[in-house]
Amino acid sequence: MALTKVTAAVLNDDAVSYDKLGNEFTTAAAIAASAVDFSTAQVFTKTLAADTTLTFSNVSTGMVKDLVITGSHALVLPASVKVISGTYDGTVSNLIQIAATNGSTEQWATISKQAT
Amino acid sequence: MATKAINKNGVITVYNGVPKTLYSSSGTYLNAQAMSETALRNAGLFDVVYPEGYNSAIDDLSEIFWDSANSVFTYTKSDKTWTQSLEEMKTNKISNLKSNANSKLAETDWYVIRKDDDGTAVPADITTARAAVRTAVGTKETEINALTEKSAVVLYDINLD
Repeated sequence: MALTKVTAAVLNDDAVSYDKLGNEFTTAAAIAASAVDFSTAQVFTKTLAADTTLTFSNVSTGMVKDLVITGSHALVLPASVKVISGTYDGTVSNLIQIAATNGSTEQWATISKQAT
Repeated sequence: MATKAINKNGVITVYNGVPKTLYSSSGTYLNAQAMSETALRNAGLFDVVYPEGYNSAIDDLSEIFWDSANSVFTYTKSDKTWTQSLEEMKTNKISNLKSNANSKLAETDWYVIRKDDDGTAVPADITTARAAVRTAVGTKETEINALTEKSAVVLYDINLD
């Protein structure tokens, strides 16, 4: 008989440890060019060498990703991103947290910068 | 710092210079002040040009609009209107002129008070300067009373320095 639900015999409550999470929740990846694939990492890093326009892919509702960006160039977020607060400062590291509230249609961003 | 503007989804937003964060219909540009003029234009941020001869004291501006021929945002200007009559505006202007003169003379009033107190003569250059202020007030008052346009009254310079 096929299993239709995960029972306590298979997976106990409160039993999913950090080690069991997939890479998309636990790893940091450098953004090679400008593509941010939400299914590949939790944290994305980049030092801007030129004005850069980010593109997002595999965005699902409820995902929250962290971008750690530095560099004194312009960083363009997709039109689907609404900035809640914060100002990017290229002279220090910036934490840009993206929360997807409607898949690829709508995400919200807060920008925090490293204290100096 | 040049005034800039951008049209985002039909709403034109005017900035005093390049904003740190630029909200465009194509995306949000963080650190936009690091962008080149060409990149800013590509993002939709263009100069705002005021109509030739525009003077905020006597002109009103229309709603801002896109001038496609010149690739700038601009306005049209129209003559400002005032609720006061020409005579009322002249009266107010002359009142302000005399207030300026009063402030100017007050700077050297103490010379005159000292003369009254202990007889010390007022220096000749001070006497000359005070007389010049009074003469200037008389001249300007005559000129103001001769004005026939409200805008001319607004623009008339009552500075006594």
